[in-house]
Amino acid sequence: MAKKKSTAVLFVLPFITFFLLFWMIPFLYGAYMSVSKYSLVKGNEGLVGLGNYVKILFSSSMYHKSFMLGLKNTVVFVLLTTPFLVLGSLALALLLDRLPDRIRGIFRTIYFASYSASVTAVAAVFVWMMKGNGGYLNNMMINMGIIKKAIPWMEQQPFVWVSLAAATVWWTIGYNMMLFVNALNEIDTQLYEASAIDGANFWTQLRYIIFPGIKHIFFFVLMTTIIASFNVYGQPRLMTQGGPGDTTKPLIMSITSTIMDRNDLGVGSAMTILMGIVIVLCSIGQYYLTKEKDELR
Amino acid sequence: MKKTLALALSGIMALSLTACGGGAKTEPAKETPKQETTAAAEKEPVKETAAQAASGEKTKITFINGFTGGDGPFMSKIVDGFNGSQDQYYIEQLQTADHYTKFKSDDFDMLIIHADWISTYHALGMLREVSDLYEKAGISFENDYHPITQTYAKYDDGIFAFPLDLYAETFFYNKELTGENPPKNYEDMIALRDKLDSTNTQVYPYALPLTGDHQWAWMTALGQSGCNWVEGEHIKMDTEEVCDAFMKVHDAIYKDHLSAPGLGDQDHYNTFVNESTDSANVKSAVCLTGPWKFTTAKEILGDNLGIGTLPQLYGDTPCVPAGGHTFAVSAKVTDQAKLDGIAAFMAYAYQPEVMLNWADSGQAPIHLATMEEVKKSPDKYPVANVNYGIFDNAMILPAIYNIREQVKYVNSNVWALVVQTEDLSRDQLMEELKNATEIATELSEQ
Repeated sequence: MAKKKSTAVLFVLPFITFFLLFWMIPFLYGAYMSVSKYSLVKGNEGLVGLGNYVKILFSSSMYHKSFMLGLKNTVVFVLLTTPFLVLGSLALALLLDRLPDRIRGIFRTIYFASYSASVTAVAAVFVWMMKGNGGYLNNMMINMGIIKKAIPWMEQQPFVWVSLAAATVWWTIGYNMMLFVNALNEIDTQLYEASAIDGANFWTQLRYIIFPGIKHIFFFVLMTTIIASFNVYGQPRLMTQGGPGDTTKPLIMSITSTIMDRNDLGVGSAMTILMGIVIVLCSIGQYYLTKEKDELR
Repeated sequence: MKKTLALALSGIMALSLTACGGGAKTEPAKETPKQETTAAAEKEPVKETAAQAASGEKTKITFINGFTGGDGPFMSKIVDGFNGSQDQYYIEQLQTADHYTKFKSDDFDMLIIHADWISTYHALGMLREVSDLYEKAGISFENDYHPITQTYAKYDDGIFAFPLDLYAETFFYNKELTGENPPKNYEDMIALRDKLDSTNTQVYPYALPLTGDHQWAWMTALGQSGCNWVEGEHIKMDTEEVCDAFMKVHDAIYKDHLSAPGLGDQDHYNTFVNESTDSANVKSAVCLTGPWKFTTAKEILGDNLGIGTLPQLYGDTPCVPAGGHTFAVSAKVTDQAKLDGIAAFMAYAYQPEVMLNWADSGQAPIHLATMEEVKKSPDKYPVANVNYGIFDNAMILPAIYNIREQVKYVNSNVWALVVQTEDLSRDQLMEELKNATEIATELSEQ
């Protein structure tokens, strides 16, 4: 019995160690810094209670403006990308599901391939394609007579949001699609056959067979996509540097700027904790909205 | 109960995604071990020399800089030369793009710092006063450098840097489009626009991009207009004269069509070296950019590339935005042997025959004796020689605390408004200029 226990401890120990080292201790340390006046250069200059949080949430300071602008931009990005990343990836998975077996693998690889590219490469390619002056897309459209004047895809709003969303969707849609493909594979094919005999069309199957069958994966994809979109950094950092103006500067870029440029680890940590709380609240709201009433009971 | 637990755990999971990010940012602050430079050296490409390898008994001086481009090997040549000449000291050099962050979080003895960062690092107490090192090295701050260095390396409590070079906004022109006599003022630009028939041919006199040397672009406008945009320890942008200067930039695009509208990142240079014959692409006849663009522009334009001093575009006051590199010493250095080693390095580096290595990189050394040598070879050092012609009118960002942060709002929001809004009103502009001033004031009080 004692041997069994020690074996179990050995199995759990690596997880506990890494959990403490790379999650719990940094998290607690970050929380401690968020209630301290903590400079990247001067170090800890003492506790300030909730001062940093008040500064961010309720004052008229630059930190308040920076946080609110970052939050607004992040929410815009989440709203722009999530529908495409969830519904678009589901549509791709459904398309794949209906392809003949011998070519399904090829298309699955093609759709997933973009996910293996680094954000740096994706950003470079999209900047080259979408650039207002001399960009591939504009040149092509002008030469084809579709437009007369270059569209400022990377220079002016609302076009810049379109470029960022397009790059993000192209880059990450393959991952969600793979999750849906696996979920669709789990659905018993006899259900399709039986419903077809009863005269069910695609939409009826989608509503009564497919969606109930992939419901849990759907909500998982939705939640992880929203969380991932909240953490957006690479695409705006590399494609627009947060511009034009600060219109595409997401929250993480504001936090990075607070810590690395303004040397304020205390306020930066408080911003991070607040961002975490926002994501938790979104997740809880989503949990209640998507769970059926009887499950909640 | 299980659902509540699952909910709580999912919440923790979501929180962890961002909390880990915050945690990671904390690491640089808490990790300041004495031997960190060695650890960093393992991760980064350190230029190791034979002298370093055989450094057993020598005093080690750690030196960090951001020369990761074409100028990196030239700095290494100076460092290697010093190490090879020494039996007492050796310099361990780290060249990395994020050298400022590493300098803040780790223990380096010496760094390369930009001229406009010195005021902030000085205010934060991160730099050592170096008058004694000047004396030991036999260098005179007052007599051995161009006088402009006094505006950024010297403070009330002493001298805090060894000036290395100065780089100024440089005027390149395409002789094929401008002829042998490039425009010298705004009127010449208008004449060039008419000659080029800009709105029909899409070939414009110059280009004002959304980003890319845009800080220099607005500094040129403000400086040449004679604006005073500093008040005490912060920038002051919400004045009529500053508003006027920005409106001149706006007019250059939307009223006088000297630049195409809607240009993006680096388009002031891209349009200048654009070889495309596609009429969909904008081109420009001249380019106002950093001297480091000379080599690539020369490769593309060949003998058609002309180089000169900045035209007076926005007013009569001569003014050329500039920046510079300097050597500085960390305030943490107290070891006398290291300080002696740094003084020995400075004595070595500031010999004209050694400092010429830096001129070979395309930079313009600001050490007077070296400048004289560079001036003797205008063909070998064309950019440096042009830059020397404007040092007297150079304008570096004011030496006030947090200046780089203070101008960020102008660089992003004010500039974007000016170059992107066709029907820009003075009220709109003034509102953003007030925001810029408010943020700068807050930053100066941090």
